[in-house]
Order: sequence, then C-alpha cells, then structure tokens
Amino acid sequence: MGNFLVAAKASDPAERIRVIQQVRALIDQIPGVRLRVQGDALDSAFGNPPQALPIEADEAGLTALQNAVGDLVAIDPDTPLHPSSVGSRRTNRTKQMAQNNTRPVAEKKDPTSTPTASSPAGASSPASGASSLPQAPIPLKAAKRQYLISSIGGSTAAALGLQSLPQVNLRDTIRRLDIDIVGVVPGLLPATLGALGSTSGGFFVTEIEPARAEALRKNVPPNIAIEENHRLGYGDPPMSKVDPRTSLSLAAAGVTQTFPINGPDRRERWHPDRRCYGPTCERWIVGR
Amino acid sequence: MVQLASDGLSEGKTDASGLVTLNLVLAPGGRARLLYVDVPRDHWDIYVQDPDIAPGQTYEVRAKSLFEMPEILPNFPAEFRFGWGQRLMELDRIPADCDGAGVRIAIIDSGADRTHPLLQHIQQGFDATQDNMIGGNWAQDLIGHGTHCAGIITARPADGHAMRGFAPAAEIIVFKIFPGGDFTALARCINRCVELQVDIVSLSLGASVSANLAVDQTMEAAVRSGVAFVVAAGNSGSDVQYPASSRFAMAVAALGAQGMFPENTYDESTIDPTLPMVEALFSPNFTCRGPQVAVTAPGVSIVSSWPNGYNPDSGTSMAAPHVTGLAALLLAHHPIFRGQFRERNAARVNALYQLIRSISVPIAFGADRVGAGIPRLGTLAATLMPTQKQPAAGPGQTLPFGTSSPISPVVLSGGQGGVQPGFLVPQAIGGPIFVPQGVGLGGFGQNT
Repeated sequence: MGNFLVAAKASDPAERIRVIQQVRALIDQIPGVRLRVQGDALDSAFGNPPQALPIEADEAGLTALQNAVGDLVAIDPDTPLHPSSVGSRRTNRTKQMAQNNTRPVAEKKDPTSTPTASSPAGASSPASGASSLPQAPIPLKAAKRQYLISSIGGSTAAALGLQSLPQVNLRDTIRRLDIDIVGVVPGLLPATLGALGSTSGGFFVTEIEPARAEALRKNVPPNIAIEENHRLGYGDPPMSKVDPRTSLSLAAAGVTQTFPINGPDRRERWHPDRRCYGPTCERWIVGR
Repeated sequence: MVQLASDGLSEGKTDASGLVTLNLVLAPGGRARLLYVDVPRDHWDIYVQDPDIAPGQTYEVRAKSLFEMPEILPNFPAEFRFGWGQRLMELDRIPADCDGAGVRIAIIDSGADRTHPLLQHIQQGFDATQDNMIGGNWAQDLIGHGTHCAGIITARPADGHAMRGFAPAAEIIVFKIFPGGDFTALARCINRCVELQVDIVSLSLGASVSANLAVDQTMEAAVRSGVAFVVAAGNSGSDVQYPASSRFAMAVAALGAQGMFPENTYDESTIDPTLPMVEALFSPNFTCRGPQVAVTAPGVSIVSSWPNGYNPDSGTSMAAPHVTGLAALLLAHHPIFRGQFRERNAARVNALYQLIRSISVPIAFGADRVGAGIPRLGTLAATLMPTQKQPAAGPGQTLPFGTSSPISPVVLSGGQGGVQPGFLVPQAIGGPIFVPQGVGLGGFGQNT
C-alpha cells in the first residue's frame, strides 16, 4: 500500500471540485483504494468541498483508479504528514506525541523517496527504515515558530502581476521543502464568496525554525508568502511613561502572569491574562 | 487585588475588613510611586500615582461604585439609557425603532455572557478556542472583554428602560477567540463569517505587526462578499496595529471625555497633558495613530455589560464596537443600502465605510489620531428608515425592501478631464457624498 494525493487537472475551480467529487464517489467502489482522511478532517485539510483527495492504494487499486479517471486527475505520491497536520490546532496531546516521536518532524525522510505508510507508529518505528533514520533520538527544536504560508492572490497578486498558486500546488511545494504543516485554513469557494471572480486561497500553518524561515523567504517563488503567525491581544494598555530606571522584581516586561483575584463578595474571580507592561514592568492592568 | 510599586512591587488581597498589608522594599529616600487597586466589576479601579503612603500607617482608598455616581451615570442601571459615548455619537437622536434589525454582526472576542440581562437575545456563537470550533462554550466569557463589547453593540433591555446598545435588534454571532487567539484562528473565524453571510465583523483585537498577507487575503475575500470589518486601532500609543492597519478594515481610534470617570482611576491617567482638549474631549495617550485611522469613537471609561454585572473599561477595544453598532444602523436603515448598495459585495462595504466617514465631525487632534472625526447619527435622523423585519441579503442577493432609493445617477468630471460615473447620496451634513460606481478596493477603509 502506498499513499497518494489525487488532484484534478482542470483549471476551472468549479470543474476541479466536480471532478474530485466524482473521484470521491468512485473510490468507494474500487477495491484496494481508500480515503486516508474522512469527514470534517478532510474538509479542514483540503477545503470544503475538498479540492484534493489523500488516498491509500495498493498497486491493483491504483491501476484501476487510473484507468477509471483517465486524464482528468493527477495521482502523485504523497509523503507522510505529522499526525497534527489534519486538524486546526496542535493540541497538548499531539504536542506530546511529537515530543515523544524519536524522529522529529524536521527529520522526515527524503520526500523524493518512495512513500510508505503514514501512520505515526510507522513513522517512528526504527524497523520501517532504520538505515535512513538518525541513530539517536533528536528532540524537537524548541526554537520552532508558527509561520503562515500562502499564495499571493487577490488584488495584491494583480497589483504585482503575479499568478496565484492553487492550494494543492502550494501544499506540494511546502512538502517538497520538508516543512511541517500543522494546520490548514482552507480557501473559500466562489459559490460561498458570492461575488463573481472572487477567490480565497487559504493558507497553511507550519512550524519552522526562524532562521530557516528567513532563508526560505528569500528563496521561495515571489507568489508565495511566508509570514510569522502572531498571537492577538484584546487590547494592550498604554505605553509606559514612568521613569525607565524604575525596575520591578516580579517579572520581566511583556510577561503574562496569572493570578486569582477576589471580588468584593469575597468570591474568587479569574482573570486569565494579567500583563506586565512597559519596558520596566511598571504597570499592571487587568483586562484592558 | 492591591498592588503597590516603587523600586519593587508588592501585592496582596484585602481581607474581610478591607485591609491589606503590603511590604514594599524601598531604596533609601525612596517612596511608593504607584498604587493600583483592581476592583472587579461594578466599580472603577483605583490608580494613584505617587500616593502619600507612609510606612506603618494605614492608607485608605475607596473604589467608586457605578451605582453611586449619579453625575456620571444617572439612575444606573435601571433607568440609564445611553452611555456618554452613545450620546456623543447621537444614538439618542434617532428614532427608537431604528434598531439594526436585519443586520448580522459577528463579534470576534472573548465570548459573550448571554446570561447577562442585556444580552439574553444573543443566540448563536462559536468557540474558536476549540479545534474546528466544535464544542467549547462561546457564552462563557472568562475575560469579560467580549461581553463588554457586545453590550456596546447590542444591549437590549427587557423593559426598554435600561442601557441600550446601538443595534439591539441586530442578529449577533459570537466568536470566542480569547484566551489564546492568533492569526490562524482569526482567519478561520472570518471564513465562517463569510459562510454565515455576516454583514459586519467587530474586531477589538490586534497584534503589533504592520501586516499579514494571509489574513489580508482572507479579509479581502470577505469584503468582496460583502463583509465589513470595524477594527480597534490598538492601545500601544504607537502605529496602528494589525488587522486595523489592513486596507480592508475601518480602523477606529479612541476618544475620552473629561468628567466621565472619577479621579484617581486608570481612566484619568489616560489624559496626556501635552495634548489639547476640545470641549472636554481628549485623545487618550494609549490610542494608536497613523494614516490608517478612519474615525475616532468613545473609548475611555465606557460602562457596559460584564459577566455578572457591569464594568467601566477603556481602550480602542471599546471605541470599535461603537462604530460597529453605528455601522449596523446605517446598513439597516440608510436608504442607500436599500437601493444601489443593497447587494452584498465590495461596493456595499466601501459605501458603508465612506458613509461613516462622511457623517464624521472633525476634531482638532490631528487626522492621524482621529481620522475623519467622530461619526454622528443626529443629522441622519430624518433619513434613516425604520425597517420591516427582514433577513439580511445573501451573497449576490438583494434585500426585499420595497422602498425606492433616493440616489440619483450622475456623471462627474475627473481630474484629468475624464468622467467617472457614480451616485450622489443625499447627506444632511457636509453636502452629498460621492460613491464611485464599481468601486475598487484601493484605499479601503482608510483615511484617504
């Protein structure tokens, strides 16, 4: 059995969706072929409705599928993804899984090699390819940060004279670069957007070491953007106007701390975020 | 919670008698520089710079209750109808049945406590802190911020007497993104807003970055499908934060009014003595500024709903919901959105942004701090049309309003001798505004 990605070749988005829907129905009827991801997870990772299909197929099943769909689709080998790549956010549990994995995400095998099983157990098992694996466990690099990778589209692409990259192609590009995809924000379909000619490409959430992300930025095609994901604040308090020589001992500037707070009724009230602001942490404001 | 700061910081909780003993380490000759007392809900906090505190002596402070400040909040809460911000924006001068019916607003924030007496009409929400927005509890607001913003936009008193939000009849969809929100979660919420055919998204949030293309493209697609974004400019006192700085958003700065808060509060500390004050209004020190600021709105000591009560709060976070609510009223009741701009598309969004700017009264704090000024509804009182209760239009659809539009097609001469087709929209102040036909996306929402 091998993993493959099925993508429609049509240039028209509506036609691509129609073809993929037909292939999806066909897969259920061909022995030796099955979808690797189902339901909401499929929509989350590949668009709603999906614009590509991740399948698992044996040789006979793959041949049967290729004969059935002819030239309408491209069926390419698919390299395994991290377990958390299907779904919107890396949970604590999946973080732990990643940390326990003796082969870190960044150490995936050569993407050009023949694909093998994509299960987490298979990926971490020394028996599944010991010669190409590191001899000792390598911890995940703590310095990794989340980056959003998108194809430049919309009015920005028009202004720059760039051709937008379909999401499937972007995903392939990211995988070829051996970047860990930890989430997908699918694009919206023209039918949803309502306006003629509208598109929304969506983007991939990835984890990359900052230095590598910086290098990638300089080397990816101009129609691909790599930007750091940022936490949003719900309102920072004003900048400090206190003498910067003042220093407080409790925390460094910008540190978020959590305290239980009692209300006038003596009952404990919870403020999840209490921030220390200013270069010297001289102001403590709650919930602003 | 009481905090006392000097070269060190000491903090503690008051006991049953209201006393707390704080041990503050002082350098020789040093003294306490700041006392901050956080009094949860129904009170203003206490914020005293250079308090006259002597070691070993009791220093007494008393938090002011919202219920005992009639000069600021008369007859609060039972008979208190409009906050100072709503009065400044002249919500009290439009017909009571202009209530935002038919408009769908998304509030992407910390959730909204719909057990609050003023928010019980909110029926729909998503907890975006959960994977795929499945499960969780959007109505559990651990922070209070979203509940506060919701009250400004849509507070609906059951008896018709207590505090009213701008658009109490608008349909509200709550997206809980805090604690822990990031750009990815925001983009997911925006996509869901498009699917739900939301008309206006209220964003009292931001990050200190200049732009993010992935989010911007998500916003652009949403705008093209008729979703408007009203976004808080930010409170760092520096450049406008993102996504307020996006050209697809309407960035809102904050405004304060002297006399609308007690002395020795955090709110008082937001007055910058180096800046001018105009008729008791001031531009607070925290408000972000820049060419992206479209308008300004009340954002200091805004009293609104809070989990289990009420709270005064300050920030551009409070200013943005004022404009969101006003935008909902315009979308629901202004004739242009029943005529030429009733279809959900980018032109409608741009017309909304332009109309808000056109009804704004300039104020002399500089355009980078206030944009076009303070949007005011009073001059539109005769123009706004109370609605038959109708649902919002879907993508590419039109609302089934039976009224004809008072918009007159015109052709204006362009600056280079060309002509630009468009429409003249009657305005009560400042003459008619010109909304270009087939308007593009350049300069969207910004103070151009």
